[in-house]
Amino acid sequence: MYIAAPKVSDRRFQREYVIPMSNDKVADVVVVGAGICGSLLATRLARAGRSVLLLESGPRKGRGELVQNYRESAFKSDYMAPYPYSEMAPHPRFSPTPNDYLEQAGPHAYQAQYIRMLGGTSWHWAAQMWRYVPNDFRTQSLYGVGVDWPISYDDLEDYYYQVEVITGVGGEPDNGSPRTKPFPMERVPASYLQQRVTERLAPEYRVIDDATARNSRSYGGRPACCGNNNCMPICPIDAQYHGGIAAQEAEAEGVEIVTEAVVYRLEHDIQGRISAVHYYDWDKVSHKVTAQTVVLAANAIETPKLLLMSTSDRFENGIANARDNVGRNLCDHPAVGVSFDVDEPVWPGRGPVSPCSIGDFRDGEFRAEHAPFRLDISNGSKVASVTKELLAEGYHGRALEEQVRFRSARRLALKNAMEQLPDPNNRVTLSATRDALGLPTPRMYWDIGAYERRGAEATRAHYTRIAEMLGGTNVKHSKEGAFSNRQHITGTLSMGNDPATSVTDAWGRAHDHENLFMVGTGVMPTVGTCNVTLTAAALALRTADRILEETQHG
Amino acid sequence: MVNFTRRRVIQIAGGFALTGVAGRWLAVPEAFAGQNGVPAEEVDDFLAVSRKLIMRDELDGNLANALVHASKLALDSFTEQLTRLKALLAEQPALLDGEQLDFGAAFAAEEALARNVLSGWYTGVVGSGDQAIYVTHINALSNQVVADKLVPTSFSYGPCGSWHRAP
Ligand SMILES: Cc1cc2nc3c(=O)[nH]c(=O)nc-3n(C[C@H](O)[C@H](O)[C@H](O)COP(=O)(O)OP(=O)(O)OC[C@H]3O[C@@H](n4cnc5c(N)ncnc54)[C@H](O)[C@@H]3O)c2cc1C
Ligand code: SF4
Repeated sequence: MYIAAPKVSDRRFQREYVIPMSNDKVADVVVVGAGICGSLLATRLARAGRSVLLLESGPRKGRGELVQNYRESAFKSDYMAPYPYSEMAPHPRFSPTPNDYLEQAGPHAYQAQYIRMLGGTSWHWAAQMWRYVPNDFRTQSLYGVGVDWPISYDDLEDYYYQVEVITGVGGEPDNGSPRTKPFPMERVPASYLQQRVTERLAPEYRVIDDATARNSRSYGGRPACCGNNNCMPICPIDAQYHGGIAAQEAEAEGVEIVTEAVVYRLEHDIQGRISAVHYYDWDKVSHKVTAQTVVLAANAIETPKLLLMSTSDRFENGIANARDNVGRNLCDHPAVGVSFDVDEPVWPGRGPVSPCSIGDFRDGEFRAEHAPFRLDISNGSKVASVTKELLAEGYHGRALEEQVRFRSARRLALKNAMEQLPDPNNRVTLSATRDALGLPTPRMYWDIGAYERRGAEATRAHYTRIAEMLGGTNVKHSKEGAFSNRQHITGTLSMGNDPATSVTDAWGRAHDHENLFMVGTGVMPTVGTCNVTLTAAALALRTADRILEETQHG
Repeated sequence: MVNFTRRRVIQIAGGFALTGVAGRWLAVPEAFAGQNGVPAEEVDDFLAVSRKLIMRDELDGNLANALVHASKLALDSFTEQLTRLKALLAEQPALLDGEQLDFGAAFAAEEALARNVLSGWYTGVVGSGDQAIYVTHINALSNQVVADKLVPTSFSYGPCGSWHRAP
């Protein structure tokens, strides 16, 4: 049974919130959202000669300021803390006190940590850039679960490579995702921790280098990684690619970027084509933009929100939502974790934070029975967290310092990236709360099914075995029945061939709106077992090419 | 008397987090000492208590000054509590014999302050939630304790791949 979405009346918006328009702009293409996906698409379109306007709700900030914010933060484990916050383009915030921007309506809190700022959320990522494995695209046909994509791995292979070249990806080539060309980047050398864990778990488990957009040499005008161990929440030297760099590249290619431009409404003509995009600047002055083609790239929560807000007499449930699919089928990797102290010092905290994983359980017949998963091994420094733990235990004096050293040297943490099946009840809708501009905030409903719970059980069995093989003591599994979201927000704008069950077609085009496209992780109908941004970015370039093909001049 | 605001504590203490610091302990700038209106006797008391809790004689006086300043802003009745804690540790030194603090119900407030003092030195943050004040990152004792193996997060470890060798 579907849970009904609250509606926001179009007329009420106009009456209450729209201040007279000014400075109307016109472009071939208007892109909403300057995250990694919107920016990469905008660059490609501009390079082909299109005039592109990129509207970004957040502010423009430099890396130096963000690094300083991190260093001076009292909440270093909160990845949102270093990033600017404004009531004009609010995003989830967790410290000093949570702002509850996302209303939680489901049995499990969905705590997305997205950033509304030029460059978007991948400012604070680990730059893991994985390809799906080919069978991820047809789980329904092969295993009778989930949905099949309207496209295959082969349709995406070349686009995967194009993004890998732009962003400089390196990693273990034999990782389940076939390649026609080698990685463009040599991998970053393994830390001592990774070597020890790899040796001790072999051959029962195969630990491999993650695929990451992290420089092991100068590339794209950016330096090689020098092991700041701060990839999340901010790499101080831009050794890893991110959306801020993508936005800079878009601007250099001639894309016009307007920051502090909060898009709040799409207007359509009689054919259902998008005829105008309305945005507020931070003084709440409304502006109108027109373009031949409109691309929404505001992420997998804010894009559905915008569509649901854009109601009209003809599309009373919102744009692209005639069949009530927008915002549904929210998927992520519902994670369970473990930590323990290895029986030898391995010193996490040297080199990148997220360098390696175990991919042995990403695919196989078992997918008919339980969720597949990948096991991420953290190399983030544990000094701060074990210190807090020891202080809470009351340690002081020499024993405190001995224990800080002991636990910092040995603490190993693993987390899984487990596939969640699409479920229409898991969704984004509009809450009744309004932000400072009078716009509704998102409401999340997230539940975890039996398939994923069985996957969690299988994961825990491996955690126990791995801890045993590494002589682990002080083994702590995450709480039974609790799942955290891994920030891989997918499904809410699912692509598919059947308009009855999807929001966009195989190119990311809204089924009922010929000139409206969507890019970002939301268009991905399933979440697989890896970090999702490479696939979303590859799809974004594919959408860009489609737009170029369809809008050839002359 | 110069009265530093909460934000200013942050700026001053952040100002000395400058460069790659593998294995180094950077002193808090001398310029900070004595400029925030914190009475010298209070810093002395704080240092005396801290030396007992940390079991080190050498503690940075300027950082102590910054921690006291932050504690006065973030912790209720800090000055009075500090006086009481100092007296208690002088009267009952055996309270620190065990590895873990356990002053008992009668001295719960003193124990809470002892934990806050330790937390300030080791995490570089005083207080919690809305009251949390950042004081230092690289000078936090937890970072110093592992400085022969790790650098504080966000500082360079070394050339790409230098983490390949055993620490
Ligand atoms: C801590 C963390 C670590 C992560 N690590 C990884 C990783 O290692 N690998 C990986 O693949 N993924 C990772 N992710 C996920 C990754 O960051 C996202 O998948 C990616 O950023 C999505 O890109 P996007 O362009 O679709 O959206 P975003 O990056 O969120 O960008 C959307 C942009 O749209 C703007 N916007 C929003 N609303 C509006 C509006 N109304 N008008 C105008 N503009 C608007 C926003 O301000 C933002 O700039 C991580 C995420 C987090 C939080
Ligand atoms: S380890 Fe340091 S230099 Fe390397 S990517 Fe992470 S933060 Fe940047």
